[in-house]
Amino acid sequence: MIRLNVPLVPDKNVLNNLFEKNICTVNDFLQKKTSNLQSVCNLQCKEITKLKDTMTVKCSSPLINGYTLYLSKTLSTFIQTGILKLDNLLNGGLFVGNIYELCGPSACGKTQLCISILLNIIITTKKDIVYIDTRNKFSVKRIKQVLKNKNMTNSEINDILKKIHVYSVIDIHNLITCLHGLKEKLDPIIIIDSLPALYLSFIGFYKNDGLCYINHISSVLKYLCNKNATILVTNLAVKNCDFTNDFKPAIGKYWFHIPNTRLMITTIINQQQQMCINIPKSVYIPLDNKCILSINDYGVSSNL
Amino acid sequence: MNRPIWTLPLSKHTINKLDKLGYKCCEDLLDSLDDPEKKSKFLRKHMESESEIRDMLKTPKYKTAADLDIERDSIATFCKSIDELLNGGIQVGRITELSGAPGSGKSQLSMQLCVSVQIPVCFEGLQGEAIYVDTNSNFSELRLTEMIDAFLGHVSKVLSGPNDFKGAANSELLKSLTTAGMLSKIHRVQMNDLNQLHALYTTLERHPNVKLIVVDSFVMPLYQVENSLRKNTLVHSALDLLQTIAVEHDLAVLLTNDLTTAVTESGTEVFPALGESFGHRVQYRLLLSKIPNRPNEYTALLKKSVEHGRSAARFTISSDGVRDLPIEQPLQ
Repeated sequence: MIRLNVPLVPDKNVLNNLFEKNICTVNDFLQKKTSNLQSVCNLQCKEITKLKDTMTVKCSSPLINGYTLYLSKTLSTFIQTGILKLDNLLNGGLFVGNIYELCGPSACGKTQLCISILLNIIITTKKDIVYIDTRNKFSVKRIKQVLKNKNMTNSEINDILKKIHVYSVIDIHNLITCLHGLKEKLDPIIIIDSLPALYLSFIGFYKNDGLCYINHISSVLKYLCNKNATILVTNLAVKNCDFTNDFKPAIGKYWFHIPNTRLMITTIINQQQQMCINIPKSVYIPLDNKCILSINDYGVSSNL
Repeated sequence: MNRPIWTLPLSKHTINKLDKLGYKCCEDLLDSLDDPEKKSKFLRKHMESESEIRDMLKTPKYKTAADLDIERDSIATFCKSIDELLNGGIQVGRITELSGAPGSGKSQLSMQLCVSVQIPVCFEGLQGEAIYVDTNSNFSELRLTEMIDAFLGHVSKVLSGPNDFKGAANSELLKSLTTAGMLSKIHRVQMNDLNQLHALYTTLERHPNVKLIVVDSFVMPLYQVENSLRKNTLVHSALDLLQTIAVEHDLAVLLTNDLTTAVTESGTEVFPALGESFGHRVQYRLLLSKIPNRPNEYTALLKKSVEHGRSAARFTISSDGVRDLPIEQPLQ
């Protein structure tokens, strides 16, 4: 919903007149009859129609054909995670402009995977990465441990640490403010760990406000993706209520549709230091392939 | 893309009022705050304070990981193997969960931590106070007295030794280290509803030096709640609250949890109560259990931690409190 402003409407007097009649947004304007608007704006019928036309064009999404889109995808639209098996599973790496979800039960290695991907991206591309931490869980200690095991010097480690921008967020309003603040950033890589931590306390109220917020967060995330952001969200997997003991993603059915690719993580029984990843949802990756990764002092890696 | 007004933490009433005025998004709000003519009119009529709104709309500043690279304080137990497991003890600013069957040493370890949080600064302790939220009547001042006496005995032994501690010989400090003095720094609150945790805010104002909050047990007040959705709300709002307090006041939170049985196709499985979503929100998870057939021997298994892999520690509970296993005893 775009609010009327001066470039959209010819001048300030007209704008004030419209506001007085409670016509505030483009939507309001387009829905009003031309004849009514004529008297409010003191404009002629022809001008009003022209105004409506330009508004419709300006405020709607442009058409781009598939070929142009294809050409615009270059190699730089791939971000390799640096974990060989995972890159293979993902057909090359993370696609710019996609939302990825890492979903798994608690203590299965979601945060570990995030940290490893984050470090690998920084090491290969030298880009800044935004890390939104919702549980006060971000551990510099662990990062240093991983980097030290990769034989990095202290100054190298320090350079890498400076490239991680950590936002510590403890409620959902802060997360929204934070995401809106990222609109200006150029091609950001955003890691949100974790989304359900902010949402879970909303479940159970008669009016589920949390759903509205999640709805808004998803539209902001989609907007950021249109601006070439790459987003990695972690989500919790909870047990199904039936007796199958299968896991399903938390945050409700609505969120099911939001990520472009969902990576489901499961722990392997009796192999605590390993995780199994498969893909239950994606548009461009064949589904139900699997890979097994191990967690150790070097972070998450392909070698078992 | 603009941010709608309803995403701000304002009251429903204010949001409706703004909506009627045609303010649909925050950017409009900022525009009219920046315009001096509109601002005065706008604020007089509809807003409590300008700075509040500006604060809400301010983009949060990030910190680089290098800025966050500071050593966190931790509360050591008196058991070296548990401290090693947790890298020096339970960490401030974070939530640690202890789960285990009845009699596995959860309350003992909690009470031990209430004592060790008081270790004076000169012994590299936090010299803090503790709040013990007692939901199960597990708090035992008699047991605590025993632990404190053991601690004081240890202190006087160390002080009479050859090691010189900075200012430790200070008689002032020793005078304050009495059983009564230490016991009075452990504040017990009895609760039977997790909503009462909100009272912690005022308690903390009165006792700003608190470094540890123990909720023993976290599940007890939830057994009486029948509606599982309601239970969920209670659990997560309590966790929201505890996490906020932990960060704001820089203190450690310790929760104890029971075990529960799940029926699966392959039989039954025992795991901590309250499900995955609870486990998701605590930063450290320790599973305590008694070793069968061995008197007074217990294990602590680290089930969840960002910093360390899965490992286990053994400990014993003596009359002094939670301690390492005696060395002569061969570990099998």
